[in-house]
Amino acid sequence: MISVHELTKTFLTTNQEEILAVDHLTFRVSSGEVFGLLGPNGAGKTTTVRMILGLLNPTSGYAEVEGMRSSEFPEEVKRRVGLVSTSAGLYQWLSARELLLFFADLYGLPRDHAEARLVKLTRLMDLGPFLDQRCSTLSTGQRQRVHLARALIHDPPIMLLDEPTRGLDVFGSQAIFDYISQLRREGRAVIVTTHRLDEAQRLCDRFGLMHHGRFVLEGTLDELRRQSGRETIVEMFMELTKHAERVQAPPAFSPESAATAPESAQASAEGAAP
Amino acid sequence: MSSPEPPRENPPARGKRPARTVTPRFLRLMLKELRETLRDRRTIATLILMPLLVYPLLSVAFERFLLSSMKAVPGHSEPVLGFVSDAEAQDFAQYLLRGNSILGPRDDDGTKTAARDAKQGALPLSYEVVNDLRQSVLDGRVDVAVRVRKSSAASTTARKKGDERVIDCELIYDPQSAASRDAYNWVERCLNALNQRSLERQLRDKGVASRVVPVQTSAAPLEGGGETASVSASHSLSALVPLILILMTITGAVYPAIDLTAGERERGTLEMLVASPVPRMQLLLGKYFAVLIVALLTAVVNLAAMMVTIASIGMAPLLFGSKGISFEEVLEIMALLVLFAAFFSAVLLAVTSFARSFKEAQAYLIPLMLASIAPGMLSMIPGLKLQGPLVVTPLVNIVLLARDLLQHNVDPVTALWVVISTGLFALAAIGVAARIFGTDAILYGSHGTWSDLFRRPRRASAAPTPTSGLLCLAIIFPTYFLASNLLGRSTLVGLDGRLLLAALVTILVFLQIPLALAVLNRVDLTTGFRLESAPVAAFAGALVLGVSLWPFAHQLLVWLSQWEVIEFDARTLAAAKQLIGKIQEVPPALLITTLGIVPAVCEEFFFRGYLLSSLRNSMSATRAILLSSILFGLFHLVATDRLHFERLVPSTALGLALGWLCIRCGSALPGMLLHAIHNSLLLAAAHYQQQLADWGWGLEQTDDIQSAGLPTSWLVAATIGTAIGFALVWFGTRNLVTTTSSQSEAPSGLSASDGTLAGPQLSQTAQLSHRPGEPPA
Repeated sequence: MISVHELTKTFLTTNQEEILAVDHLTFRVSSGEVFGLLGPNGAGKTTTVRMILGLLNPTSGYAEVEGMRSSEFPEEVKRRVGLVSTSAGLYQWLSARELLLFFADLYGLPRDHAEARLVKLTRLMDLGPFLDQRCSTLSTGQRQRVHLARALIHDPPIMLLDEPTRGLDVFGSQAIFDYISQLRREGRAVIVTTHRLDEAQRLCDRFGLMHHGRFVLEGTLDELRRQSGRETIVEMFMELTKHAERVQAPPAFSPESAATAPESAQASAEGAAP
Repeated sequence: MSSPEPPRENPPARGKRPARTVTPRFLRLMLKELRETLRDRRTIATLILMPLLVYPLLSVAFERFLLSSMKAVPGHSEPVLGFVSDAEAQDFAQYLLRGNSILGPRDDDGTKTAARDAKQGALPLSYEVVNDLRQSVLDGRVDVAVRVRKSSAASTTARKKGDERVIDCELIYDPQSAASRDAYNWVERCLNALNQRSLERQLRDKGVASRVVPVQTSAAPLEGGGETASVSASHSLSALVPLILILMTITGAVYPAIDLTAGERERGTLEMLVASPVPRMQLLLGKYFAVLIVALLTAVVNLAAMMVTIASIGMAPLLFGSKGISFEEVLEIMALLVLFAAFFSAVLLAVTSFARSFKEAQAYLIPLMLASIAPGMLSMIPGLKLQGPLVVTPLVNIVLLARDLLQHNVDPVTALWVVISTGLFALAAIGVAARIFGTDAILYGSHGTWSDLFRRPRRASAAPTPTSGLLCLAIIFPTYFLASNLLGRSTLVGLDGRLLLAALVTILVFLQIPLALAVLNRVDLTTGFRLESAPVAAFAGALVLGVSLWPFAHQLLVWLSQWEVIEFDARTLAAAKQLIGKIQEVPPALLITTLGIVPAVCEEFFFRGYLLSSLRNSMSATRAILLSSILFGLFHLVATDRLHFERLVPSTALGLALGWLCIRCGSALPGMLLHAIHNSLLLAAAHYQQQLADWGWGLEQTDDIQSAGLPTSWLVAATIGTAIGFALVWFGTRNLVTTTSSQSEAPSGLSASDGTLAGPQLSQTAQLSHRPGEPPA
């Protein structure tokens, strides 16, 4: 479904320095699989997602969606992907219903088909109470549900969720994770980026732990445990950041450093957020 | 699948597009943008409330500053004279009364009334008795103060007659005040008339002929004799009307332009928009038309508010002359505003697309607004004519054209130049906006600066982008206008020199500008201008077509004229005859080189080389050929001196043939041959008209083009020749086209990014041969 091969992106800063945002990333995500792209802010998660969708052109390497390279067939790729982005906003002057129908139109859905999807998503996401309210009046949780519904309006086989729980409280996050589990049951290929590692551990089938644009660990939870010798992802993450601070290379995990408390890992990961 | 040879057809055809209705899509996009914009009360405020408030305020200002200075014109209201005593006033009034009655018969509204009044024994003036004459004028209490220095009997003889007394007085007036000046002039006129009459009578009494004055004059004011005072004012005032309208239209467009680009970027909705499978060009067009409609709504509201205000305070004659303004003229002004709004909305979108936030967009727009006010003010200079470079200067040309329209003084050719150049500027601006809008540098701005967008691309591309093609046309059009205008006025060189200069201009404009743009954009010159080799058969076909197409060009004119689609007036025919006469004086080699070969090669270089390649980048071959041919035809329609309507259809038809040839061969070279032969044969026919006639081959000399049809045998020969030519090209390029289409159709069912306006790279051409799904080599 999604295949990323040696994907690399360098940005130029204003001082003409090159920054390696994504460094020869290779992974695959198949249908019915939730892939967790984890890492601190600035690890290159969002850039990877954007390159998969074709919003950014890779410096080298490629991303394929259903066998099509996103840099070559951006429209075909976009047609098959739903994106929930952390930085996205809603049209303040439109109601949720108008907004969803507008995006249905952008994705080329016929009107009656769009209405049917809207009814289905309204039930699934419980949008009914605020469907005809202007988006400017919605709460953060309601907005995020509208975003999810918008990304699903064209029934895409692939979902890219970039920090879908940012800014949400426990209940809000839980609702989103429930929906994501639903997406897996429906057989979609899902990539989730998040720094809520504990949640991700329960939710995802496979993980890619990113740091400085590269995977330091990649695989199922069992594989990760085998590779790192740590039980939880939070622990692995702590290890990872610690070592990364010491040397800019993939860390060699040592059992001695496993004593770090999970809470502080969570804090350090979130503390990096702006 | 490997492609040993690079495909001929560059860029490759974009596969088959999925059947989707393009127009409704972008219209629906536009409706959503409009809905969003109009729900925002801030828009309504600028749109409706602003004009409702601004015009009454402006009109108050007008009345205060402009009307006050001209309200005391004699005939409009009474001048007030000042005297030190009643007796003097009565005395002086006698003279004025008599002088005024002499002036009476003049055909002047104001004075006529005065004369009628005078006959009834009343003067159209009032007087006041004041103590300080000088001060009262300065205060404006009286317009002219009269100090009688001496009033006595003139002479003994006169006293006997009892009528001619002499009065010596000083007229005190304020040259700073229009009312005072006008009153003084009127008093002077009355007194002069009286003196003149008196002098004549005395001379007659003495037996001298009355016509002793060496010079006699009478004034003949041009139109609107009654409003001489306001004419100069109305010249600058009627430029003020379009200026205000344009500024208000800008005001209306600014807010939605910022909101729909930088605003969306700031609110994070732009990313969702570009994440959808809609070409960026369509998104942009939806936004463009939304901005345009808001701008037009503002224009309509402003125009209406302005007209109502002008009518209600009775300023129409002052602004538009005695004829006033007709409904058609209001519509014409509206049409100009549409054109202007189309242009300015595109410019606004191009500028605001750069911005990553509302604030940044506003910072960019302030210099733009100032830059638009400056040329607008320039157009208020009285006597500034819409000619020369001003015709193709954006904004200034629209303001001046609107002013000329209000003054009933429009030259249609100039108007068309203004319209076409503004339209082209708008297209170029949309092209620039499309290039910027939604690019990742803007979308994720932290990773680069917007100047990256104007850096030379790192990779070379095979064909220019449509933006670059349209930009090139937008530069060529006004440049060509200016250059040929300059050339037309130069009288220094003879006809031969002029021809050489014209050829030079053609080379500079049609070769240099596209070349410069191509180099700047790193376009491969061979593929970008389609200078690749073509099969010999294609050249042979082009040769045959060049020989056999020109009779059709002639016949097309005859038919068009017979069907009364176009009309050849005496002037056109005379000009054509004069041209043929001139052609026969020029040495044939010079003639064919400068008018035949050079323009043909240069025009092909641009129209079929650069422009067609660029258009082909974003549309099907048929559409690209059609559009480039129409632009080619339009280019031949407007010349500097007049419109050549007769050239539109044949040129477009020739453009179609040349466009097909170019796409078919993947090269512009055969087209150059065709075009050059076509031109040269027409020129040679004109040059050797006499000799041809001697050989019995001549076309009949007739002034009536309708009966100047070619002999049937010629047409039959031309048809056969054309058929052979087309067949040669068709079969000569068959292999070529099959190869190309099989390569370009490879990603069947998939449409590549057709709206991103980023030219497909050479490397992409090779990549396209890789079928999606297959692992890369």
